[in-house]
Amino acid sequence: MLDRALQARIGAMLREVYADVAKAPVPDRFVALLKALPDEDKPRE
Amino acid sequence: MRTSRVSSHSPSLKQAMLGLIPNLRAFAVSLCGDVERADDLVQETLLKAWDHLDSFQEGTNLRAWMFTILRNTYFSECRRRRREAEDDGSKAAELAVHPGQDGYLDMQDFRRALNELPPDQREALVLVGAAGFSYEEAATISNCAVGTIKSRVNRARAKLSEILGVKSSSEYGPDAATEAIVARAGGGGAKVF
Repeated sequence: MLDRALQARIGAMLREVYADVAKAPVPDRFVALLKALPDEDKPRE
Repeated sequence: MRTSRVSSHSPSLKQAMLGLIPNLRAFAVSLCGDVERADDLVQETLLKAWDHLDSFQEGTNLRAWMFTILRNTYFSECRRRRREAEDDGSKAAELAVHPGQDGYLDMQDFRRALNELPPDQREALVLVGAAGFSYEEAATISNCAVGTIKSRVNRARAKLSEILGVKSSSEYGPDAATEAIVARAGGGGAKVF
């Protein structure tokens, strides 16, 4: 039997760990990457 | 093969992908356990997604689709690393979780405990409990049955309880352990990753 309060706390901590990264600004490397992606399909190797 | 559909929708699709990156990073970090590797994983995911846009149906769930690519990339990379005998998983194993002297849990303890879960359980728990997907969506992303997701989530929760040193209220007494943990709510704990 899983303790309710503990499970609630686990859920809250899980969301906090996730949100920690999800709240962070997008690193430049990804902005640059998306900008550089071709708008049309190009033949790839 | 050139598809005009892709070029006419590219700007908004790129915008949509940009908007998904924070979530993709959060999911990737939960899978890998470290930000650097996670960001490499996200990079690969974006490239793969862009390469396979013809297999994405406009109007369907882009977020789920990209999460699927990310987790597939992660798990195939894990298999490759195991074949190359790269002992990457030892990182998580080394970080044994010892509840603090006062029995309180901080975020560091929790992160370590999370990293100790089997990857499929951790994945299921994060998809449903943090990323906000339904069990059905999580099952699609993980390519398994809904029942499998549910049992993975339950096992993940049970394992976390065990790792964090509190097996059940009947074993430790409801008040001491629970109060210690609940009192920590909003405390934040150490932000050191």
